[in-house]
Amino acid sequence: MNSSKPSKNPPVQYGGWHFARDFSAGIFGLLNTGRIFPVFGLLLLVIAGLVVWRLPESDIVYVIDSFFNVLRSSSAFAISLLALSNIAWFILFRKQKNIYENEINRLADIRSDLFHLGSDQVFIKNHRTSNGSQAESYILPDLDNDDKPKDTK
Amino acid sequence: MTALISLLIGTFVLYILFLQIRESNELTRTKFRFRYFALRDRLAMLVAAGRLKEDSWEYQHIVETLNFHISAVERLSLSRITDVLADYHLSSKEEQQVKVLRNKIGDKDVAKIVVDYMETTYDLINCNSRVQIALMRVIEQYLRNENAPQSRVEAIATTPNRALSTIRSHQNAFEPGLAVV
Repeated sequence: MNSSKPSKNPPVQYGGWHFARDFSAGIFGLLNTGRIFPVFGLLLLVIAGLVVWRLPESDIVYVIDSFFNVLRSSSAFAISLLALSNIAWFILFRKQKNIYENEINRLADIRSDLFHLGSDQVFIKNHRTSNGSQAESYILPDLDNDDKPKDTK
Repeated sequence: MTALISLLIGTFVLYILFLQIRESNELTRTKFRFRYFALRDRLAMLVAAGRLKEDSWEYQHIVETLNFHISAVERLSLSRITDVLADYHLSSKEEQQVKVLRNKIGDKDVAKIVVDYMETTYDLINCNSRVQIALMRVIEQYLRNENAPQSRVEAIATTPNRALSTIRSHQNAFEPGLAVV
């Protein structure tokens, strides 16, 4: 996909589909960052909205009653959630262990490789780490400033 | 009273879910930080082995880029990283400059590092937005089947989705370079 093309097109009028896209992006943003409570609050608002605006008055009591029935009468649901939560923690910790073990093994391999480079080894003069302020740097050379020295850490 | 207790339990469950998502995000950030570290070390090992000069622009540019990505992964939240890197890879400069970079890199291993760097960034963006992208693709497919206007189909294209396509196309541009011995 050519990224430069959309910017050349005339501006598109912001419509319902754009709003739907941005709204869903916002919801996913909340979920991805673990902000469950606002999402839950929004869900309650949507339910409340449906109840108030869409349902006939005679059904409102039934819907609210059903909602609380689900919450109060499902001990099996609560136990399932507990089990699922424990499984999720187990997977998380095992994943964490694997990630750190792989990193340790990788560093051990590098150390081993450095030991065996022998006298041909070239030492790196400038230490470049990700500490400090990192300017946005492109993998591709800046054609205008290609010869300028770079301020690296 | 029972309803109140149920709501309290529900709130507690949501809190546990919140903790798990936070830990999972932290772990994902760590995983990708380590992947970028590995790429930077592979590049440094090429210098240590005398196959790449430290003052060559390939080394300096690629290390700077990797450091920018590491710094982003270290400092920003996962969703913010996705936004930043998606914007970064959708920048207008890249399209013409891919060709320049492809011609400048002579070493197969350096080209492989660049390809792996793009793969890592692709995975990072995809990892955070997988469900969102999948949902948008389903909707896009549905709209196409319904012969909806092109403007409507384009309206639902999300930034991560476009960034992934761009990264993949840039990655493909480097694939022929990997065959050079």
